[in-house]
Amino acid sequence: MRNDHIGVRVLLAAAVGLLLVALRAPIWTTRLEAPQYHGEEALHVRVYAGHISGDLHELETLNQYIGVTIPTDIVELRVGPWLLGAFLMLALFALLSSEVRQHRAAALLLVLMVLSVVGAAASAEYRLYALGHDRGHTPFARVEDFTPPLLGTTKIENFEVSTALAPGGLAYLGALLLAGTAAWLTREKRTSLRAPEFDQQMKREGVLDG
Amino acid sequence: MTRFLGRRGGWATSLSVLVAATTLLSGATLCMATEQKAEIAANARQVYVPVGEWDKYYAFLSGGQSGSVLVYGLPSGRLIRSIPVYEPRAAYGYANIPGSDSYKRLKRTGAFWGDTHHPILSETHGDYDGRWLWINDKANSRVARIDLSHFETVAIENIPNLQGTHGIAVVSPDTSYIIVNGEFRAEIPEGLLKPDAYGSVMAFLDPESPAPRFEVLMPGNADINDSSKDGRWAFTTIYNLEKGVTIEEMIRRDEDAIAAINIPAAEAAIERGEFQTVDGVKVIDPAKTTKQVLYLVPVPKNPHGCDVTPDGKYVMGSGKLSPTVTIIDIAKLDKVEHPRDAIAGQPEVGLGPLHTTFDGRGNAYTSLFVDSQIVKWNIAKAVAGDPTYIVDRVDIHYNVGHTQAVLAETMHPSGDYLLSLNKLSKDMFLPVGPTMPENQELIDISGKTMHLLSSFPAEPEPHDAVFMRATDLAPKVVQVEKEPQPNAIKEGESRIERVGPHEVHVYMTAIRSKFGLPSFTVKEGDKVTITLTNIETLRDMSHGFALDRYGINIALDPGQTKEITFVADKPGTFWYYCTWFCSALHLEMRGRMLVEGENA
Repeated sequence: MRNDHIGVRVLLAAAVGLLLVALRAPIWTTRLEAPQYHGEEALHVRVYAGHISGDLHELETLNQYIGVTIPTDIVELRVGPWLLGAFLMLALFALLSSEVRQHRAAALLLVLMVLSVVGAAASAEYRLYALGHDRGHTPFARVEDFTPPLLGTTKIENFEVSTALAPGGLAYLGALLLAGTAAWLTREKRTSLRAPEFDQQMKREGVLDG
Repeated sequence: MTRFLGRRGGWATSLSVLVAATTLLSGATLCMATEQKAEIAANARQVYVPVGEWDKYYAFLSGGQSGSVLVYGLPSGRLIRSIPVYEPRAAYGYANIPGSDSYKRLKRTGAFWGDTHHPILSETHGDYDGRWLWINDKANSRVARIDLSHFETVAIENIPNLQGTHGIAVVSPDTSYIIVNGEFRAEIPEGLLKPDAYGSVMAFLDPESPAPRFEVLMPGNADINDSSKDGRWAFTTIYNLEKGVTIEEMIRRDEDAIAAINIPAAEAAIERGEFQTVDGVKVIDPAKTTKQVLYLVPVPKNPHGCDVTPDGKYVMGSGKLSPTVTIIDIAKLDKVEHPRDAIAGQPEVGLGPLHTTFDGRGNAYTSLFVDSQIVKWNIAKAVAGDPTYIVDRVDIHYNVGHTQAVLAETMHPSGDYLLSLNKLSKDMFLPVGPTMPENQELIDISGKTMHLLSSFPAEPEPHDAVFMRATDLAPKVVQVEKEPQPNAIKEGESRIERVGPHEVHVYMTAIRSKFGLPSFTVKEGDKVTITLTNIETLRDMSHGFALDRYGINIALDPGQTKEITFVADKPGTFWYYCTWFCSALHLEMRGRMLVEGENA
């Protein structure tokens, strides 16, 4: 594993590429299917790092029956692009660094990306819960409280709601794994840097003499 | 043997024969019943379109005196919709409000009804391109153009100098003209009673407007027409060369004609100034042109249908009062000494031949009005004089007029189905009073023999039909307007503006399940203009706007904007409501126009 500079750099370069994808492509997607919205006409919501797109006009029209409060300013979407941009810079830094600095950058990237995933999942879960429970205006029709799934499929009234990671989300996870692998692969170099101390210790303990 | 068996043996023999005969007869009856059931099942399978699947073909049938075009799916025979052309239709917001463009167009061109006969489709390189459909109004000298992207009538024009606008055809292969005939002879120019100045014309129309570019005087009643596939010739059957005005006078001669107009020669005559301008249209008298424009091929007797083969080789005149079809070799028309010499064959096909259509495999199918049959015959054999040219006959119910094989008017017929458009239905459907529905019958022509598959009714009365493959047309049909019209109202822009002392403009959106304004107030006597936009982006989400007591209904498809103007001449409260059941809150989708009385 030592001196595997090229391999690690390839991994980090790939991570940079995947983070670029995550910055541009939808991260999370919802598909809503009902008898009158089936097949090609199923409704979609796509969440990007910095915005939401899809059949929002139609969902807003339907919302008069459901009474969901859709927040107009979602702070996560304001932070998202900056966060991903920072990860991208960190990955680039790791790519261009070497030895211990590279390892530390990769490890830091891994930790931050994992924390972000946890944070994003928690906030998304909260938003989804609030969407189905914090019903801001009186709905035209009686609809039971609900929570759309973070990942998976559920039935909400006549809609089958399926949520999944979109290409951007998968790319993010890919980048996270690559960062982790890079951190892992560079770990031995850190050990070899400390070899003189290690050797002295070994000598003191008489291990090497044997 | 009888002697050997004796008298008792005789009884036994008789009994055995009886039993055997009964068994055989029952067996045969059973076999026939089973065969019949199998045939019915096979026919049903051919015309059944599973739920959610599409028909293979659009069939455009004229709506006759209903003034519309009927759109069916084939092979199912399901009515998909009708397109109002010469009649108002409130459901589609067509010509039902005096201020609307469609209303003004009908008012400008004549009556609020029409008699549609022959739908025709635009062609590019000899095949249908799915842009437009034209249809004549025989009763009011009009031709209309329908935009197939919206299935909507977009242009109607009067055709001067002709009455009884009958035959209509596209000039192949690239829709250079629409040709239309005047079947009734009347004064040219009109405006004075002068029976000795009677005439009829074939009009060459600009396809888009569709107004005449020029007309050619015809020697008799110009009936059904068609064009050659290279665009050089326009053909029409002519009857009443006698120039009579009663039945007896019109059928005196044993021969009438197919007239062939040399289109380049007619265009050259116009360029040379060999025309008279009558009622604003350049009219060519073929007797007075430098170069021959008109060729008359003698055809027996009061011929009706005029049909060019898909390969463009022959034009055929169906005899009507003669049991023959006359086959004319188009290439010989201007090469032979007498046009009669261009006749390549004249096969007898049956009684009352009216129209001939083609399968693209060398066979012709002629409708026999009197025989109530479709007869299939081989063109090459008929031309060669081979007496075995009749291939098959099938009985139809009853008295067929037009018959069309699918895509037979293009250069590439599909050769699978043929529609028989019958004039009488009699016992075919549940009785619905003395006015019977019309009967269309679908015939499988893919094999050597024909098979009658199904019949379906229609409003009175389809005369003719044209077809398009669903795969060619469906992708070109707009389902949601993508580009908003310039006067579209956006969400949140609903408002009322007073634009004059007695004039207001109401701007409103419509989307499930609200109009942009829950109410608006005007003064009695105000001229009210309402601009309404359906701001839906979802397919099939049409809204209506009906205003009680004011006789108003607008229909708006997703993305569409429409405008109406009326005078609020009655004080009080008047509800407006959505006329298309759009949503669970459709019934609540309404508002009030409050008209303050003059003394309020």
